[in-house]
Amino acid sequence: MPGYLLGTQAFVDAVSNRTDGPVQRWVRDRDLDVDEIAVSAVSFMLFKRTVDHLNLPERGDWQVLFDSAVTRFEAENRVRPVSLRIAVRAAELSGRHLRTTLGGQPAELGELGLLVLATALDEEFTLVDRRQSFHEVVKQKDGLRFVDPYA
Amino acid sequence: MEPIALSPLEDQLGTSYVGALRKTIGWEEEEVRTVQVWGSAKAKDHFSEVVTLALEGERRQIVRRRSDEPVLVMSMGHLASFVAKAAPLRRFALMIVKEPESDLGTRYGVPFTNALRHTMEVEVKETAAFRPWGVAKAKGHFREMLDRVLEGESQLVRRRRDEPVLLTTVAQLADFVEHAPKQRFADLIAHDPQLPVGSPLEVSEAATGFDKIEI
Repeated sequence: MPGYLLGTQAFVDAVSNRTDGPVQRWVRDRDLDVDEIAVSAVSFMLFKRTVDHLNLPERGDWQVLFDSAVTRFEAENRVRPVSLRIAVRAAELSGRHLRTTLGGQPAELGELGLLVLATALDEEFTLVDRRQSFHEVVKQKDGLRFVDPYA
Repeated sequence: MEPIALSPLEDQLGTSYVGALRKTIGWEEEEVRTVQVWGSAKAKDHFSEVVTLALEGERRQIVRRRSDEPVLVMSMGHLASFVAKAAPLRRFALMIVKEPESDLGTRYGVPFTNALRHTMEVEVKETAAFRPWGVAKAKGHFREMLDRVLEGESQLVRRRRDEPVLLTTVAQLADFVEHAPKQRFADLIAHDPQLPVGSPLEVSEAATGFDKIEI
């Protein structure tokens, strides 16, 4: 039962401690068990680095939320590490020059995003995240299962 | 869903035991579907494992028959090992021992409580992580299981040295697994008034200064 892998943005939104966000609504509507959703360890890296680049007071609030997420997701064993297979798969995807947007500007999907994507593919998760142009490409070519709770 | 391979059990215990096992836990499609609710492959694996666990090692001592019903005689250590590998079960096992010791000690005896605490290796910090999940329900479920085993059929409780022993039928264990409470993911991310509410935060690799590796 592979279940769902929260993409990094969906994960951050999920642990924002808001009640009415699209990810929260999506989770509530499906009544999923905790064992049905996982997060890549790489997403924690991205999350942490993003928080570290914030200014006060936002940084303080998000640091608390980050620490809480680490505690809760680790206790539930919901963090997926990067295996050798995932690393190799990410490298293979890297050659595709998958397109995304950064700050509203077109860009190539970075190495960390590739690792999250490769985790979903290798472990047959359904990736949960905001839709980007590369999702359709990987869906067609690699059979990525994808759902956009923001739609 | 493929049934659990029974041939290893047949090799160890003979076809009559396996036949009784199949009959008792309803190893037919309809019942298997019921167990599937709990987590399909995971439930199947855990259940298979607990049977194997009970049958291996101390096979002669821990496998018995009562009428035509197979009975597993599990030490608390065995049960703890099983529970520790089944996350939903482990959660409420941890919670029951977090209860005031006097209560359990009065009902089941202090040695039992201490052994339970010891075998479950309870840590305070572990229980803190389970707060959002619904303590009352979990405690109630585990207590119900204990009551059923310890009070409903008094012959099912024995002591072996200092270690409490539960004698439970396969059917009871299957029922225990089937009704194990689950934690909803929505509870894991539910609003916590003790935490701040995060402002909108967009995550991107560019924002963190993480550049592609150039060779």
